[in-house]
Amino acid sequence: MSTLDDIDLFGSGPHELHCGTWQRATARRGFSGLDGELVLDLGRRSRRLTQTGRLQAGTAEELDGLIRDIELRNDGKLHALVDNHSRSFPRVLIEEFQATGPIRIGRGFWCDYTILFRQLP
Amino acid sequence: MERYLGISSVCFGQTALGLPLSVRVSRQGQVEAAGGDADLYATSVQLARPVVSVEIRTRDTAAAESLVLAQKADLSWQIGPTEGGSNARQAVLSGAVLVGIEVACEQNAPAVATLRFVAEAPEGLCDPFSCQEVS
Repeated sequence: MSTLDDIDLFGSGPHELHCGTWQRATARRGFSGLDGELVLDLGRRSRRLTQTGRLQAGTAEELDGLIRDIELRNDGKLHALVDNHSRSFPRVLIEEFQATGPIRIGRGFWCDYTILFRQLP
Repeated sequence: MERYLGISSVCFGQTALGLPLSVRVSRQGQVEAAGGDADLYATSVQLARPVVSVEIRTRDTAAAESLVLAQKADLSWQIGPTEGGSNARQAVLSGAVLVGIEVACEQNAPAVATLRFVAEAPEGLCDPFSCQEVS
């Protein structure tokens, strides 16, 4: 079960984290007489983490509460994410949270979601 | 184990379907299973809207051929009593939409029509299938 700042936001249903790679910024320069190019390393930038999963609750109100709890963390601040395999991702920002379908009624209320994080170095 | 001694009174709207051979009621829930990246098996099994369908096999091929696909009406039938002494049961599939007509004619054998219906629940909340004992 993954947590955000040690808070169990996603534990109502299964979820998985797709971890992107670190991006590195460079500036490429060239001038006459240079065979090749000059590459300036501008340092590490960020990487994207995408979590997909399912939120489940007994009532529509409870499910709405789960969604609101996640949206509250979309506050522009840095958080600490720990995934299902206990890997830690510090300095994580929530960029986007969206339910990928309507709220549906099956065994209780549920919806699938995608949440995009950006991790800063 | 129930052995039914008769299926009778199969009606689709105003059309009586005589000589019924079998009635099959089916409830299918579309499974939407999911699991997390640490799970070996699915840890969440949800069902999308279940579909209630009925298949009727009858020798009354003339009545079956008079029906039109997409026709919507209440479908009712009575089964029983059973060999074990249970009372007959009256079943109704309200809002049944005819989605399939199949007529099979074989050499030296009576023809058989197979009709398939899928129920449309008007409010989306009530079970379109109901069944009760009749004395």
